[in-house]
Amino acid sequence: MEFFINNVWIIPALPLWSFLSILFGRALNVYENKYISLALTAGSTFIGFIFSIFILFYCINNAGTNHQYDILWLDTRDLKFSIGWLVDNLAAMMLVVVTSISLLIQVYSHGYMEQDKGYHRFFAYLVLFNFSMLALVLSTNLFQAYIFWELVGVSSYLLIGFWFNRPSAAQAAKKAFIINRIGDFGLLVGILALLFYSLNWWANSQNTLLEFATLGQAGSLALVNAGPVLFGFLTLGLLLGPIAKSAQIPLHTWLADAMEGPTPISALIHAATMVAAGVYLIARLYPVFELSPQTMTIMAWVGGATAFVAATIAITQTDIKKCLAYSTCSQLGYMILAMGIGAYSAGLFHLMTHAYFKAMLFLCSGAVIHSLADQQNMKYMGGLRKKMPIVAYTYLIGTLAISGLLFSGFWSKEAILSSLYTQGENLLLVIALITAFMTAYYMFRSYFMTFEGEYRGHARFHKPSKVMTMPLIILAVPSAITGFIFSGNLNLIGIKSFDSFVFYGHALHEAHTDLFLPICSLIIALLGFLLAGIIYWDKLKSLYCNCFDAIQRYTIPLYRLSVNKWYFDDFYNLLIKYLILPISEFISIFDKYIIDGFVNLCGISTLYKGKAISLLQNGNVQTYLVTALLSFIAVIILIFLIFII
Amino acid sequence: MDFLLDIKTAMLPEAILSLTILMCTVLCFMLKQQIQKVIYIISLLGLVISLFSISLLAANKVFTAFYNSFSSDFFSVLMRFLILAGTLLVIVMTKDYSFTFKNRQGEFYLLILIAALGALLLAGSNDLIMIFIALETLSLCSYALSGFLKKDKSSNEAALKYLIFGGAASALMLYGFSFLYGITGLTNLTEIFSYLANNSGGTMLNLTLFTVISGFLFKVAAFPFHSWAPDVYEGAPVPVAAFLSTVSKIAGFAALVKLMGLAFNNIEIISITLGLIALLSITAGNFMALNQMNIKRLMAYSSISQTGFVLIGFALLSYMGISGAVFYLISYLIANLGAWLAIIIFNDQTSKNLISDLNGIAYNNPYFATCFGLCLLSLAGIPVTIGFMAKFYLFHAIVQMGPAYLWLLIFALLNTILSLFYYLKVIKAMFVCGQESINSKLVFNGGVLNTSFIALAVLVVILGILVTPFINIARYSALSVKLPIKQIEIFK
Repeated sequence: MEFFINNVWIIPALPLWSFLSILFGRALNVYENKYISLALTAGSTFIGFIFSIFILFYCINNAGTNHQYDILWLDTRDLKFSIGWLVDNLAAMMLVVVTSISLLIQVYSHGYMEQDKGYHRFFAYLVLFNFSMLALVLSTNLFQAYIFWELVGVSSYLLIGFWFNRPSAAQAAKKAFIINRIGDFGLLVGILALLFYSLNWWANSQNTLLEFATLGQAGSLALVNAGPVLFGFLTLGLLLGPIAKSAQIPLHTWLADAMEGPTPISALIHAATMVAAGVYLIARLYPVFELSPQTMTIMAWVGGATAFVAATIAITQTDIKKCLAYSTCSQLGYMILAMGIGAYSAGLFHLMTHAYFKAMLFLCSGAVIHSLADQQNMKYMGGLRKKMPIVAYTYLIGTLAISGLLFSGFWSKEAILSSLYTQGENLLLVIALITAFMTAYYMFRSYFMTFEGEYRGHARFHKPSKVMTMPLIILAVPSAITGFIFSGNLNLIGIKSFDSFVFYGHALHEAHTDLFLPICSLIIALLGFLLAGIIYWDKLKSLYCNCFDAIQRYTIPLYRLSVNKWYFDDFYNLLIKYLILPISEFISIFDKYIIDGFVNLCGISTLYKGKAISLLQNGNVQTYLVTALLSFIAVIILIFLIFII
Repeated sequence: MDFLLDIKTAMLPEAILSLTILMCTVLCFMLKQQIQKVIYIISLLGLVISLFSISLLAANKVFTAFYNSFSSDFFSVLMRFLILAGTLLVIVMTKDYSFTFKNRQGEFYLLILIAALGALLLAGSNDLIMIFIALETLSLCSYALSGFLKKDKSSNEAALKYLIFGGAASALMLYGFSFLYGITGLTNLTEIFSYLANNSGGTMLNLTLFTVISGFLFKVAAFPFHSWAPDVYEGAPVPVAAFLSTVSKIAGFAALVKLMGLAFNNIEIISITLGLIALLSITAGNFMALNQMNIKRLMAYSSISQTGFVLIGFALLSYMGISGAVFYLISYLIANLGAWLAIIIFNDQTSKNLISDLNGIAYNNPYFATCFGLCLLSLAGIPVTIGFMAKFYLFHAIVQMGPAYLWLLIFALLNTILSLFYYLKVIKAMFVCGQESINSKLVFNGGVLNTSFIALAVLVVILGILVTPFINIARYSALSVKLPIKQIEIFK
């Protein structure tokens, strides 16, 4: 067991090696066979998965495991930049989540991308992402985490724009990158400000710079140095990074566009792992955030608002992937909300369960899209349950899970809701419950539109291959049961609850005595299910009267608001068009004529100076010697002058 | 017996190299032209063995030989390692080049090995006479080597210029040595230092110091003794130019570090003057490189400006500065040899030397272009390469010296920007100029030349990332010099 902990670096190192092998594949004959890329990618992840499983068990058996190893990278006497790996319960949990989902998705991708020309490129990007994500999870310090945070962003950019021939994909990649840059800018400013206000502490303590383990002490010093107001802004800057990465309001608009990438990518990066990295970073930076109650409140409200807004948008989406994308946004909102109110374990618990069922939902949608020749609009689907039962039933499991109907989503969402309840955040609790209702509604809506009723499309249907359905079946298991297993109800047979494994400060002992809230949320989810059924399930359609049209007419303004995604994109477009572009044009004129002119003047004059000095180099050895001796004499005279004066 | 024991503990690489030279001399006369390649292999073997024998030297202790006139400490061991590694690569460079020497291939290797022996002795010398003998061994061989293309006019010109310039510089240096002997009555450096610690040398000492330093400024091609470099690099055979710009420079710097001990009676003047010389070297090299079309001349001017950067480390007269200079030398050796390897690979196949001949080479040979680009970026000091770390560490050393040296930092930074122009000019030719402007084709096979070229380029990046162990080596070596430093040190 110790072996796995001590050699944890192998987990990210193998994907890096695979990436390099595929990158230089031409020389290494990798491109001759598709299975070589697959074997490199999946093999590296599989070994990582085995390692992660053993590490997880080790962490479960040895409470308080905190294995940190730092490689000193740059030592500037005062500050020590290191790169290393940190294994604690949180990292162990994330490792298992990332490697297991990655592995299944890589196998699935083989089926999905087999006909694509860029097969090897796809796997190279995929394995690059894997490397950066795993290294981010294992980071020991904020400095290292920032490096891999950016690398994760880069691989996400590359994969969204994978089909760069499509203008929409190229645009989406650019949008994702730019919006993430905004967040990363905030993060960087936050990191630098934190470093600035705690520099003395790091210099005196001789610890690794910005290491997570002692971030809390440095943070409290920074709080003293900066004062509460500045410190609040500092933490807000830090928060901006996770807000962009986890697609929270107001930086959430990239996630829906990111669905332009291949569906396995949407499943892996934009549902299960990378977007959750924001929540993971918040968890790592918890000691700093905790020092600023205002930031925690803002975090909670950002999460709550995102959960609500994204859910309202998801209600009217007809593109199956966009619907799932907004649902991802909404669920991430839940996690951030949980982190904001101090429900650390609950947020991360939801992260874990969500990763499994959302990855599965996306893979299901990918199977549907693949079978219908790239048809993504749910209006042209329907009745697919009979044609692809495996996909339909796994999708149903995922839908039940995300809606909070007894599968794993129920338990994690329950943890968040009960924390809201015990913290007395009643307004947020109401928002969360409404969101839960909408979640059930739009997820069942998408299920009914896709899998029930009559087939409305024209595309020729072909069956998804086994390579694609097997991962779905495997993923269905954790989607169904992880929530219950780690809910604490199995304490008797020795499986501890999630919040006694991953916690902040001290383990919370939550009492599940109050049945009011679980029943309430179940009823709400059922209501959502019923509403979706009434509207979209043909078998129930006969039950309601025609008065529904009247209701629809009254809700048209709300409908428009939702279809237009609350006009966020339009607002940003106007902002850029009428505010940012004019300013930047003005600056560019200044830049072009004044700054560039100055620079060009310097450059040209330097070139002429160079020519002038070159005249000394005329090839005449006499001239050379005379210049050398004259300069020598000049130096001597200089010395004497200095000496005399 | 003592004599042999000294040689074993302090001079093992030199002894092995001398044996190789003897062997080569005999073989030179015995072998016919067709099989003179044997000498190439034997000299390679001899160098590899003496490289390994360096690891047998105990690096943490000081050993002396020849009655204290040669001392082997960690610093000199490191320098000798760099010299041997550089010579090894220079000899590798001649693999496809040596046919131009016709029936004198054997002599060429012989001369290179003797020059390397001189460089090794110079790196460990601890006595004025030893310094002079070693320096002349190195120089005389270099003169002969740069004129080795007998029928080539520019090669002859290069040899003559180098000889005249070298003669003048040696004369200046000897003049300084005679003063030094006159002031102290000693020739052993350790004794001279201890004498100067108790007696002030007076104004004369400063004059002496500068005449002495001039000899080395010539060897390392620093302003104002730099003007031979472009003509010689252009005219001399390419491997010789590579040898002069790396191995011979490192030897010069190694000896200069030892002589820095003389400076510590009058720190301010020496420091200011050396700083000025460093800045002028950088600036002159940079300015003259801007308009160059010939890649060999460009490398000559670039090496002048790189010399200036190393001299900055000396000008600080602190351990931090010297360790910065040592680390800069390591990075310079790797990147510069990589660049010269690129030039010789290109020259072997196309016999062209202009920057415009490299146009669009990235399209038909991306590996070559990438590796060459990496070496140039390292010379320019762009991150992720070792050159960046070297510049960073050096500038860090300047900052440590406080605001008095700010002018040095500012000018060095400005010059770094300036130098980017001509390095990027080459990279632009290789990558940006379109496919239509390609006028040379390059085949990249897995020969020893290309392998070592790629290895150097990889080293440039890897050492740029995993830099701490090498910085530590530079620090230990700077500490092992044991300069009689009177300054307050903030260096741990």
